[in-house]
Amino acid sequence: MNRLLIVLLIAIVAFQACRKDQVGYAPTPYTLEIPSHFPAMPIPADNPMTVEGLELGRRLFYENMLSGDNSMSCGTCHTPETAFSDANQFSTGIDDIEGTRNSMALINLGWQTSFFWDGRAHTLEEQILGPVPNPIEMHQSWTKAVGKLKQDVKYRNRFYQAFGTTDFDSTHVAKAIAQFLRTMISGTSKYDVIYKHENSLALTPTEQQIWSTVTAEELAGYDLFKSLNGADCFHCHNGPLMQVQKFSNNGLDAIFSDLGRAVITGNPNDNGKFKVPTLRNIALSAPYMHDGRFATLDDVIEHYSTGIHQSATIDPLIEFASQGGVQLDSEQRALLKAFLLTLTDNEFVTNPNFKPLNP
Amino acid sequence: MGFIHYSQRFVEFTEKQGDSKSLNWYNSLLIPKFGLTCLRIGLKVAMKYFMFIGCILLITVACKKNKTKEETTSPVVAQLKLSVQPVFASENLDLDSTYTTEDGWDIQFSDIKFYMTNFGNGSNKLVDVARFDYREKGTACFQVAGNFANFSALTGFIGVPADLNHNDPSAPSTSSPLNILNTNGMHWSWNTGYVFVIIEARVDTIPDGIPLFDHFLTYHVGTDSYLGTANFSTVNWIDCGGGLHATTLQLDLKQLIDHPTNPVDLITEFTTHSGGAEATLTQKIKSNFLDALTAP
Repeated sequence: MNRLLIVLLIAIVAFQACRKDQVGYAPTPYTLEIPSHFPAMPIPADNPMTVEGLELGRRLFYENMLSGDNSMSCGTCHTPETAFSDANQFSTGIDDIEGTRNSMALINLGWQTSFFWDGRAHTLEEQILGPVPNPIEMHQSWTKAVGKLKQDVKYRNRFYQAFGTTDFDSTHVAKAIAQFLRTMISGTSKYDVIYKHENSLALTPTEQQIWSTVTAEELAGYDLFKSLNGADCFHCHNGPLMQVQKFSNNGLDAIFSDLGRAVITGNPNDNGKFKVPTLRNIALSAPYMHDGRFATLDDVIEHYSTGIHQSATIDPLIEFASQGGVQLDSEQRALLKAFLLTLTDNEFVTNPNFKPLNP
Repeated sequence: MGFIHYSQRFVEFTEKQGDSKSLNWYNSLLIPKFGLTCLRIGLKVAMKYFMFIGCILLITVACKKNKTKEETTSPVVAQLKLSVQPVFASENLDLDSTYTTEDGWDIQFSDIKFYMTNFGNGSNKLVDVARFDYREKGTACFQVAGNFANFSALTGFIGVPADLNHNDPSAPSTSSPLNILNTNGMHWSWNTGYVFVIIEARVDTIPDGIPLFDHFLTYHVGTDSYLGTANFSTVNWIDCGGGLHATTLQLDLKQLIDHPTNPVDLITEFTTHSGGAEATLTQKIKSNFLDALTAP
């Protein structure tokens, strides 16, 4: 009988020892720091922000195991120094195949209503599911990607801590990365101070100080930016997000080699239309346009100044299209560029919370 | 009674088991007889409480059934749905389709959007803010709780009144049409206010049979001085069943362009953003728009 008791005691001790190794599921709610002049961020009810979820997402964003040959992560084509875009015109996947569109900058994604240049994804979670199985990008089935992650006990524990399951799948990966991306908020540029001042919103002492450094050239450039007879940029780029949520043909081509939005809708009225991107951190996110055709900001200004091509679907808000563009002279171009540089948010691109956590 | 008999039988069965093999097994584990006595007493007490809990559960379930019946008989909340159908004369208007003006110009409308605010009938409020966006939302404008009998006439603003027009556009709730996330380009951060009406179109001004459509119309009406007041003295609501009544306003774009007393010359009057130098055209678009919007 004593033997039986001893066995029982050993079993209890062993059980307790095992329990100590198990991680608990008690996710900690995470509150986003939204700039005061920004709208509230819509968070999907099925993916609330948690400390555990976003930390997992941060690791997964930089996780090479998500690619077929363990050589690429999301962060490969979305680097901090380029405002989380790719300095190359087209990104190259693991099989050395180039894509056909430029990697979009990952800025303020929590407020977007469509994703990818053609808007084929409606939610951030849906967007994240795209690049992993894409044969010209990370080229790996989600089953394999998740299988690799499941072999890592640390990931098993982290998924359990974040979502209460070790039987996770691609949707959990997408949710975690989406949580991380929602924290990537850019709202501390010089432009933000100009916007707040213009809209009579209270400036903090630090912002007051920044406002005092805004130059006459930058303000003159902003006047041009929003002038109908100047650069006329404001119709598509305004507000705290510095963009309007729509698809537009901005006169890049008369004949389209990429139909853009029309590929998704099948509507010929959408031919040559692409998602209007934010201009935040625009000085850092070269090259420009959906196909990365312009290497510099000067090239972009030149396009809107004299390089507009007419077509059936051109945005009617490009009001000087019939003249080839807004015809800015060299002084105006310099002023406009000075304003565009105020959109650089150094705090955003150097934020240590957006850097890799993986060892 | 059957339940009590069963409980007694269950206790007896347990005791018998305790008297035979099971008791020997407990003894072999060095558990004292005192423990067995406690177990018997505990089981008897548990049985008593088990019966009591059973009765409570029966009563609870009975009450639940009654509640469900009450819920199914609750009244339906009356709803009112307002839509806007853009037309070109007698024809329903489709964006990007071609229509011909009195002057013979072919025209394709590409965007029709406007704000409606403070709509109601006297002291009966119908809706605070709604945004019409033909391309994004079709003819739907708003659906709210309300009794159609209270809204046989409607008045309200086309645009956003001054007390709301200059607030921080990020401040309204994310479900509000005034939140900058929901404005779809109808807020001018540079002009600190909302665009009240947007009409955009392409016109073919060269009658050579080649559909060029290279002349753009951009009518953006905003700023406090161009807030319009719509007044519909009769509004007919159609009973759609289930407590829902609906009405559809008509917006006649031909009336806006070919207004009988105030026509728009598409060649010279093709753009306004409500700036100081554009006052004449802005006022014309505003007043023509109000005339073009009618209730059935």
